[in-house]
Amino acid sequence: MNVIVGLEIHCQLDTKTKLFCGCSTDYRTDGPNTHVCPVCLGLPGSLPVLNRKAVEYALRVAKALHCTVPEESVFARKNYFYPDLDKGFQITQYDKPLAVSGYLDIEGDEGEKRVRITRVHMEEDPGRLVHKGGTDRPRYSLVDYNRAGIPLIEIVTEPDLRSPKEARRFLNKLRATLEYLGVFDSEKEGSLRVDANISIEGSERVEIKNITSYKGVEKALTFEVTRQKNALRRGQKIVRETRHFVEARGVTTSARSKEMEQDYRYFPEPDLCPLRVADWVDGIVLPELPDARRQRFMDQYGLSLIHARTLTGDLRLAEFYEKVAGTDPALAATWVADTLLGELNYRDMSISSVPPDVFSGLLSLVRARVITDRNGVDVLRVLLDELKEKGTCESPEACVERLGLRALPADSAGGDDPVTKAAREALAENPRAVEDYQNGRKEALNFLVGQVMRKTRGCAKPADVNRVLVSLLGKGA
Amino acid sequence: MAEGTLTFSPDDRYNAFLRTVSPARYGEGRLSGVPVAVKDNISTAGIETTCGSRILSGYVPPYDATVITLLKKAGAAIVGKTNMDEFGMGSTTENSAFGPTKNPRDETRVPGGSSGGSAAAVAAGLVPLALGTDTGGSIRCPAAFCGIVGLKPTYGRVSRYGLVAYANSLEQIGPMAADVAHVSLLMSVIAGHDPKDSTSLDAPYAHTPSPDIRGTRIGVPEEFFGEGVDPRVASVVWDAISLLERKGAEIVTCRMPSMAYALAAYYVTCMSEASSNLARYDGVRYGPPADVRKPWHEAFQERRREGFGLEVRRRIMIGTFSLSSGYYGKYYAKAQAARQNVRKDFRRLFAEVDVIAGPTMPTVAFRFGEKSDPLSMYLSDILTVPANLAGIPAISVPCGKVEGLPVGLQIMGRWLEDERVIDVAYAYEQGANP
Amino acid sequence: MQNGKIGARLKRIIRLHELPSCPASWHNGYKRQRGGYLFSYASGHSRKDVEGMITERDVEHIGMLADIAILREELGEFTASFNRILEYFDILDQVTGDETDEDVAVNVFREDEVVPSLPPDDVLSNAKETEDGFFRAPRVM
Ligand SMILES: [Zn+2]
Repeated sequence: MNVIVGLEIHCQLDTKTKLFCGCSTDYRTDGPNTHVCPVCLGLPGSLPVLNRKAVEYALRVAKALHCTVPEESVFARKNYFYPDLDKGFQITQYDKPLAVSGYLDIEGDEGEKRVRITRVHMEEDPGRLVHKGGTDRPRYSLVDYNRAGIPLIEIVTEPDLRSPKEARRFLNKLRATLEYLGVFDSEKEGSLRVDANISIEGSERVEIKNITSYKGVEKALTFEVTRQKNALRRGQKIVRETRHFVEARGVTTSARSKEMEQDYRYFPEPDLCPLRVADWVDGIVLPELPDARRQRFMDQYGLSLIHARTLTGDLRLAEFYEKVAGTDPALAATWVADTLLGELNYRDMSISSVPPDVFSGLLSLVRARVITDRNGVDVLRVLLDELKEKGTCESPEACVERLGLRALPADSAGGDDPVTKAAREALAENPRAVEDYQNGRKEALNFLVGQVMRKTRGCAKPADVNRVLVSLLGKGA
Repeated sequence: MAEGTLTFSPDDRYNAFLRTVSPARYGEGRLSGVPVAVKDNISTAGIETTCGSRILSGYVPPYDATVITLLKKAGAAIVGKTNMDEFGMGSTTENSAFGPTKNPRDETRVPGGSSGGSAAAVAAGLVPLALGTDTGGSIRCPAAFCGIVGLKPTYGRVSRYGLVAYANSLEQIGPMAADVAHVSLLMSVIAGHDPKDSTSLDAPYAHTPSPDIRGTRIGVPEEFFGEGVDPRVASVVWDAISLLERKGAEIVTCRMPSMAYALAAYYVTCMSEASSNLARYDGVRYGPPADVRKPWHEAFQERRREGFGLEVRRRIMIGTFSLSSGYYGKYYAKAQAARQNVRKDFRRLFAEVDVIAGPTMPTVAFRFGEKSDPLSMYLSDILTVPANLAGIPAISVPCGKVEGLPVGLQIMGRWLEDERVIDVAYAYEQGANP
Repeated sequence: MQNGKIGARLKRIIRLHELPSCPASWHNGYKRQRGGYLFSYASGHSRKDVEGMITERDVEHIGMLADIAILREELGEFTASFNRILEYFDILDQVTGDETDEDVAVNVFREDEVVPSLPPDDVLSNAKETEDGFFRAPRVM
């Protein structure tokens, strides 16, 4: 049973002002209805005027997705009644979109894969509704039009994706591409929304509307695959319908059939002029995109494909890596890709909350063996906790000193260094292990190493401990 | 004159005004201290703007339309908002939610519409200047019926910013006054480019009317004198055209085949656009509120039934129908094709003639209730809608009377040749009233 | 295009509006309406009975599509006027040519520069139902 998935992705373009008026798009920290004017409030008599930057941004996307930009594109009104729609219609593009027929290469389930892009068009975001009076039966809605008129691009793919995981990978790659282009900020809440079409080969298609997170897409699709496969196994038919994804419960629920019967009565927006911007495309110089940067990371820093892919999969991460790569790109790659990302994920933090100089400082300490790798991880955890709590943190050196995690010396001639002392103690306290070792059971050494590490609170370098223990055991102490 | 205020307390026996402003402030400038009446579909900051509709009663715009800003800059005193057919939908001003306006020339008759209040205010001598709006003749029709002058400018020449939309692709704000010189003066204040209106043209108007029309070629389409045009009106208009010939113009008869479907194209277009434009009146942000205890669609449907008059609801519904899937091709798309044919007809004619002349309206002002059948009212717009479909300038200037009621001579000009249209109207006016 | 002296032309034109067969086919719908046959179809016919006729049920459906409530007593008048008007619109079936407008303006923009938004008082001043800076609207679910 083959799974067939197509996506419609709505992304907010990161312009300073809205699509059709001069209101600031920087509304997220302000109160409701503080970023509105006659135009985005739909006051009678107001008229839209198109933001040139939004068109430039959309064309960058079109070019990066290898789309064709037709000679002329036209804005249209999509008519439907909803209180978040200030004018009773949404200005969008319909039969003459900005760009068509592109593609994006992704890492698919079976290697490199080309996902075809049907179209890219521009439209305005509606306002935001808050339902009052409980979730089951709201008594009324509250409306905030700050979001109304934020520029969106809608990117529509062909049904080329074959699994929820592929859909997730596509989204990640698309997000990275848009961020590299400098037209999108994935960290802004609600900046991306996805509608997904999914079917099991040979069955009807189901549309899942308004998924608002990257993880949500994979979850919603996974739920849907299971639901549809189970239904088919039971001999039921899949009905063509629209479903909503309930993020909190991780399930999709059927939307009322009324929504499917919508007749949007599209017609050209008489208050805006057609766009003839095909000739702008040649003038657009695209920045380095994820694939190119991945190759460069491999060439320039000697990274593995996996590290390079991970580190270039997110613009901020890639930039962070380049800032900390410094003298030891391999060490930095391991620490960023394998350690830092996991710790950030665990704390639900973003890479932008980590000052690169702090992390570089930590790397230097590790590299100079001032702290052990293990204590390096501990220091990192402490610093991240501080950052999460206060937004700032102490220097890695200060943290090491405060916690007394400086690596211990183990090379004094007289054998009175802390590592040798700890090793002597460990041997004295564990005669059985010593005996086992001397009887040829080499794994007893691992136990003894562990004992020494515990006594030195991880501040001994594992190599030192090994060397000292072997030497002491050899002397038959 | 310096800045100041003036008292405006007209004897509004014709119900020309929905509300007046007194004392009205004015500033320095070309129109310093001149009272100007403004049609109630033009947004005025701090002054209620209802479009003659219950659905907007109590709505006070927080901003001025661009034309109002320009008027204020020129020193004019905005003295009141004039009555109109609800949202401009009508040719009689009987469709106002706040009662009809009477024609000052004959109180048993309508003033025409939809800018009937502005026309009546000027005709009754209450104000020297007024702003109207013209979607399919809404300036020219009441100008003709009330015996004043009204200009529908080239589409884009006057900013629509702040004009409450009825049919965006067709409508223009324009000047109305008792004579051509005043219309020209008001036009010079309100015309010009506005970055807030994407369809605005960079074509300011700074013209002084000239009565010299020697050598001007005037085309007269046969269709403007076809069936449905009162022969007495036709005769008066022909006399006026003859006067222009005596003044040195050359008269050329011609044909405009696209007139066959121009009216249908016009009504499909304006109803379609209106069905979308009027969707915003949900009572959430302005206007009488929807009942928040009811579910959205129920509350919204009720709000619209109560708030809109019969003709507005009729046009919204037919417009909705003509845009709906399965009918778009038959109605909206065909109407746009027809519209292009009208443009082509004008382009062809204007290669040969400088202006086109004919009657403004097929008849004189109707009696109240005479056009209660909507289609028969629509049909009376046949001579004015072509100019809106093509976006060209057109003026109505009084050219005589039939049974004591004014008749309007309509002059249409090439795109952006509002000046020439003004000159021909001025030449007639000067010739007829030496 | 015809040129000539005014007297001859005047005669020609007067003849034009004396003859009802002049080319003004725009009044076709008008003529039919005056014939009164639009009222000859009794209500109760479905659209299939009389091709192209709008029934009261159609009008109710259009009302739904347009989100406008229609009172029972208004239905008859709306149905009758819709039929007259839409029949008049049938003349558009004769139109040939396409809808593309060759000389329309293109590429009108504003720059991406912030303009102050409305003061909060002005935003809410026309709304009757507000709460904590929000507008209040009927529930949508
Ligand atoms: Zn705004």
